[in-house]
This record gives sequence, C-alpha cells and structure tokens, in this order.
Amino acid sequence: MNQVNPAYPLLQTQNLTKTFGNITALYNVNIIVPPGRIIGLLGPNGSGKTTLIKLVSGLLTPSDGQIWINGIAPGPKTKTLVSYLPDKLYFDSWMKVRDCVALFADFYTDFDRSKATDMLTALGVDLKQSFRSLSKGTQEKVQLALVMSRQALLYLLDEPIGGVDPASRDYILETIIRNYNEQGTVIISTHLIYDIERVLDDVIFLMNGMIERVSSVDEIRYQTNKSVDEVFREVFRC
Amino acid sequence: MNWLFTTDRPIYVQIVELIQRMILSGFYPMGSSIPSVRVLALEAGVNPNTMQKALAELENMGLLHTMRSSGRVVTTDQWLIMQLRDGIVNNYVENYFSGMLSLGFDRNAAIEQFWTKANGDAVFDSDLDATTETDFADSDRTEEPTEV
Amino acid sequence: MLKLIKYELKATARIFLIAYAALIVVSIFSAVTGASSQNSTSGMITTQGQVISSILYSLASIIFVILSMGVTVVTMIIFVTRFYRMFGSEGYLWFSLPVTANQHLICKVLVALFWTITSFNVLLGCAFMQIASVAGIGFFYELADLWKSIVYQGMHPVLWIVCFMILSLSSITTSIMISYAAIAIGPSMVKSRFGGTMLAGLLIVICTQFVSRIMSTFTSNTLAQLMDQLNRISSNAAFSAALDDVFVYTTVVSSLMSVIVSVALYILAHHFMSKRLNLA
Repeated sequence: MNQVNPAYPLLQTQNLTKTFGNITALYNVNIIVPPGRIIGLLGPNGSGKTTLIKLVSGLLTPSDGQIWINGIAPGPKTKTLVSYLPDKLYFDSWMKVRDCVALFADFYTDFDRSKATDMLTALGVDLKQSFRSLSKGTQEKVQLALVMSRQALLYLLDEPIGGVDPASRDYILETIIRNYNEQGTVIISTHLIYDIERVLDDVIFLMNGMIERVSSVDEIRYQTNKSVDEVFREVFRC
Repeated sequence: MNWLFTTDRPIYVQIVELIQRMILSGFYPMGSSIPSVRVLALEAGVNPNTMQKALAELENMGLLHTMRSSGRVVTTDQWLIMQLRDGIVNNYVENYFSGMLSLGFDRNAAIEQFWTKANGDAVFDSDLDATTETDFADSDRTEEPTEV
Repeated sequence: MLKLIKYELKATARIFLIAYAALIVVSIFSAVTGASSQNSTSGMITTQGQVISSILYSLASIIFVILSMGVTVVTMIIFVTRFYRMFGSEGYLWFSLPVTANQHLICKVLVALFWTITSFNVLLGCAFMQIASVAGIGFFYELADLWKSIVYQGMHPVLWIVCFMILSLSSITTSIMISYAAIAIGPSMVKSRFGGTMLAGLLIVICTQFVSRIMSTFTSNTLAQLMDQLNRISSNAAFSAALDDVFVYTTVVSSLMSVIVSVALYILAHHFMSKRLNLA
C-alpha cells in the first residue's frame, strides 16, 4: 500500500500559475499540505478551485510554477497516489456499473473492491445496470463510492455536495469520513460551506485565483466567534 | 445522543462539554469504555481529527484514560467526577445570578425568587391545583445546592 | 497497457460486431438469391422463381454496397470520435489513470488499425462469398488461370499485392495520426475545442501536403525514368522487372514518407498529451 514519504509534504505547490489565453485562473499559489487532514478549498464560482484540483491531478499542465505530490511531479506515478472525483460524470455509455468497478480494480492497486461493492449495494444499485440508466444523484454517488474505495494518499473531491439534496449531503459527508485513508489527506472544494464545516480541519480561501487565507477551522472560530461560513460571506461579499 | 453544535465556537470544545454531560448523566458510566474515535466521529458527523482533539482534551482533564487493549475508558475517580459536576453546577448558578441581575434582582432577591418558584408557590397561581408545577421547578430540583 | 487495449476493444467491439453481422447477413442473402436466380446452364432467367430471386438479388447487392460504404465510413468515424471524446468528459476518467500518454496513444492506434484491417477482411470475405455463389466455382478456376498466366509471363503479382497492402496500411496509419494529432493539439489552440481541432487538422494537412510536394520533386525524376524504361521495353522478362521496379519504388517512397509523417505526428500528439494537457 501507499505510504507517505515523510521527507516531503503530502502536497506542495510553488508559485503555481495557470492562464487560459488572457484569463488567469490561478496566480502564484503557494501551499503546503500535510497528511492526515480534511481540508476545505473554499471560494466562489470561478475562483480557481477546480483549476487547482485539475492541476494537482495532472489533467492540466501549469503555465508556471511547480507541483509536488509527496515529492513527485504530477504523472502516472502520482496518479496512483491521488484519487480524484471531478464534478462531471465520466463513464462511457456502454459501461455497466460492474464494468466501472472492474476498471478501477484493474488500474488502481489500492482499490478495495469489496468495499466498493458494499457501498454500491447499500445505495441500492444493481451492478448489472448500465451507468447511464441511473439517476444523476445516484451516478454521482457511485463515482464517489469508487473514488473513496481507494486507499489513496490524496483525495481531491471537486464539489461533491453541490446540487445535491440535504439527505444526500449527509450521506456523502459520512461516506468521506468513513472511508478515507487516515494516513492521507482529503481536499474538498465547495462553495457550500455551512454543511461541511464540521468535517473540516483546515480551510483555504481562494479568491480570483489567489490564496486569500489559510487557517484552521478552530482558529477562525476562536478568533472571530463566528462560523467559517459567516466569515466566508463577509470576505467574499460582492 | 443528539450531537448539536453551534457555529461560534470550535467544535472540539463543544464535544468536550457534550461528553462531560454523557459521563455525568451515566450514559457513559464510570469505568466503562467509550467507542473508538472513528465511531464517535461518524456518530457526531465530525472530522475524526476534531473528535481526537476533544478526546485528548478529556484525557488531559483526567476524565478519560487510554487503555492499551480496550481503547478509552471513563475514569473511576469519583472525586474527579464530583468536581466536574460541581463545576458545571456552579456555572448554572452563576448564570442564574447574572441573568437575574440583568432583571434587577440582587443576589438575595434572586435567592428568594428561586425558593418561591421552586416550591410551586407561584404568586399568581394560588387558586390552581397543587399539581401544576412548572418545568422549571422540576429541572432545578435535582441539582439544587444547599444555599445558605 | 494490455488492460487499456482490453477496454478499448470492449468499447468498440459492440458496434463492429453488429456491423459485421449485418454485412454478413446481407451477403448471405445476396449470395443465395444470386445463385438461385441463375439458370446453371444457359445463365438466362427463365422461371418465375428466378425472376423474383433476381429482383431480390439486385436489392441485396445494392444494400451490400451501401452497407460496405457505411462500414468504412463508420470505422473511421468511430476512431476519431472516440479519441475526441477522450479529451472531453471521459478524459477525466482516462487521464486520471496511472497510465502514460504513450500507452494511451499506442493503444488507440493499435485498436484503430486492428478494426480497419478486420473490416477490410470481412468486406473482402463477403464479396468473395457473393461472387463465389453467383459466378460459381468456375470463376475461381478462371481467376487461378489468369494468375498463372501472369506469373508465366514473368510478372510478380504477389509483389504487387504486398506493395498495395503496405501502401494502404501506411496511408491509413497516416490518416489516423493526422486526426489524433489534430485532436490532441486542438484544445491548446483556440478557446473552442472543436474549432481548435479543426484548425489543427487543417494546418497539419497543409503541412503534409507541402512535405509531399517537396518529396515528389525529388522523386519525380526517378519515377519518370522508370516509367520511360517501361515504355521502351519489348521483352517480357525485362518488362515485368521494370514494372516491379515502378511498383516497388512508388511503394517504398510513399510508405517511407507516410512513416516519417506518422512518427512526427505521433511525437506531436504525445507532446501535447503529456506536457501540454488541457482538459476542459
């Protein structure tokens, strides 16, 4: 199984910048992320959260700056350490649920197949169903189940609770807490902070592609006697 | 157990208080073992790290001990528990007095009010049945200190 | 990488097998109706049954031709669309796998080639089947005789067939690589992925045309010489040798060019997939 190399932080970015033509999505992002945390990547839509996550997962290449996942630059090696849940649905139309499971099992050595099938059964999903035939909410939960069944070092969840009913939100948060590898770290990006606050250790505020602040949830509450959600609203007030 | 948190204070502080209640109320009796961090965290819907922090704090206070084989165990130190209860009761009392003070009652007047209300001798309810006691009277009776 | 190939085949097999099945069914139908519409001795249509058969046969032949064209077109479309979709939403799955860009590319190219060759074989087989049943075994005997006489004259039809195969293979590979390279470069060019891909494709095609023009200026002389030789020869042996030369020369030059272009495009596509990936 994957072990964190203690010589390096779990995730580090240095002067990370990403531009798309004229648009700067991320600018000069410098963060160091230790293992064993649940971190919220918070910011309004368009603040660069998804861009940052995609850069770390290797789906985008930086315009400038560096990324290291446990000392390694993004590539096939880091993809064995990183479990990424995008906010898109990404399975091929021909695939049945059990094909999706088989795919994960085939390519990811840290995938726990029985855990995944248990989760899917608990969701009431028939493995022989085609992925496309499931409701959108169920599809998202299936993807979440697969991602969380990996013993990864870094989980990147992009808006896992966006557009989901409150009961499902609780289910999703519970799934995350229950299944993540405690040696690793979970980074959850969202703009819905209220529901997720009690689950977070630390938060990173991202505004217009730049880091506005990095802090622990406790620190914020101690210093301001307010919830992170309230502080966020103040900071990002239009 | 209902894990309800407010948003203005760190969660782990609130968890500490809640678990203290659970110990005092006998939900987790003295010497009994409590569930693991993970299980508690799931139940409370919080980050395991947060739960861990709270439990560590309770250990610092001496209310919990870590046993190598059976996880965390509630203390059997009766004196400590009494201290804890006493501390909380003191808080209640002080809260009562400061609340009453804001209504214009000084300490003695507050005590008088207390006795009157607690014994069901409400000034306006003398015509009613003796059985109509307010909830207020009930909840205070169990923790009633002997004030002189 | 084998696993990648497995999934790629699985994903594409469905469509192809259906297409092949349809093709084969129609071929069988056509073969049967064709055969039954003939009078074995005079080759004339006489009975009423034969009239119906011949009508059905014509219908079946037409459908077969349409289907064949369809299959060829579909084959090409499938690869391009699959590769294109890999840079869309599905890319989130595939590019998150711990797999190198090389493995992705090679897998896709190999599978594309595999199906192309298979499709060709199936088409050929079906065509033969129909010809065999309609024209009878006699046709093949005549074909064999023709072959023997060609060889007898000192020519090497085997060589021609081999050259033809090499040429087709290399040109197919080049077309595949052109589309793949365009798709890989597309997202990085213009805001719209589709527009970028089209633009990249256009540029690539222009470049390859340019390169081939340059190449032809070098080779046209030699080719002209060889053709010239062909015209001036009288004896059969020398004629066939010269003909072989023409074929071989053309094949070598063309396929070499194709290979070079394909390799260059592969490197280009790989670069964009590994160092300049920009998944929307």
